[in-house]
Amino acid sequence: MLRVKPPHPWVTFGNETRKKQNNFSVSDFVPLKLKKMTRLYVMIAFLFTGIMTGSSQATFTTITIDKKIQPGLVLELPNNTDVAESTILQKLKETGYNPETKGELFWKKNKLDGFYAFNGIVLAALNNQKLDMYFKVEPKSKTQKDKSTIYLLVSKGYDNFISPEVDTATFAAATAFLNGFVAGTAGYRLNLDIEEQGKVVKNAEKNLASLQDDDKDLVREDR
Amino acid sequence: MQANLRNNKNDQAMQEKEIANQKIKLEELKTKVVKL
Repeated sequence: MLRVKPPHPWVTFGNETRKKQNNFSVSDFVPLKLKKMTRLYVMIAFLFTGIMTGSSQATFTTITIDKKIQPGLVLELPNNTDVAESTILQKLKETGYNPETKGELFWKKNKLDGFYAFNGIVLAALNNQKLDMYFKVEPKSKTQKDKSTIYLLVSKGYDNFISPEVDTATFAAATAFLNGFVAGTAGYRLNLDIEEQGKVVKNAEKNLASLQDDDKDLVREDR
Repeated sequence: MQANLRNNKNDQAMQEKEIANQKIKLEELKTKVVKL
């Protein structure tokens, strides 16, 4: 027996359709459009989620420092705090600043209310303008210690912290500087991985050399 | 003695494969640096 699939409730066949063909009303289309729109919204939602999780961006936030609320920036990184801290040093060196000239790990002692302070940093985007930067690095959460959050406050001296409203150009330059940390940590992490992998290869080669030595000894004993 | 020699040769062959695999991983990581 031939089974005929029932027509879609919004599409009609036969004489009725022919009659309707030249007489469509808005209600004929609405349900189809709703379905399409729902699909579209779902796709946009997926795409948006993908973009958000795929790359993090520095965003404006307010930060309490020295008991005062100040404008600042926050950035989440997919690396632990050690990598994030090393990236700070690396990115500062890229600007021409050398935090280690003042003694190894001195920068970790140079703190203001838990923030690492670096004074007199010059960003390429700003014409030789010296800025003070205050960084705080924390694990993203107690359960996500493999990820970190960097807070950055930028000052033109003392507590003269910049905000996007007061100094748009400087704030934009600071945002771009912090956004550079995303690729910076990825590069730093990759270099560490390469170093580790190089060690694995060397160890494997040592093991082979040891086996080859054993082989020679065994052959000698056999004679 | 012969058995020890055979085992050692096997271990060497395995180790050579291991080195080759680890070198491939190392090269893959280095390629990522170029992409970055």
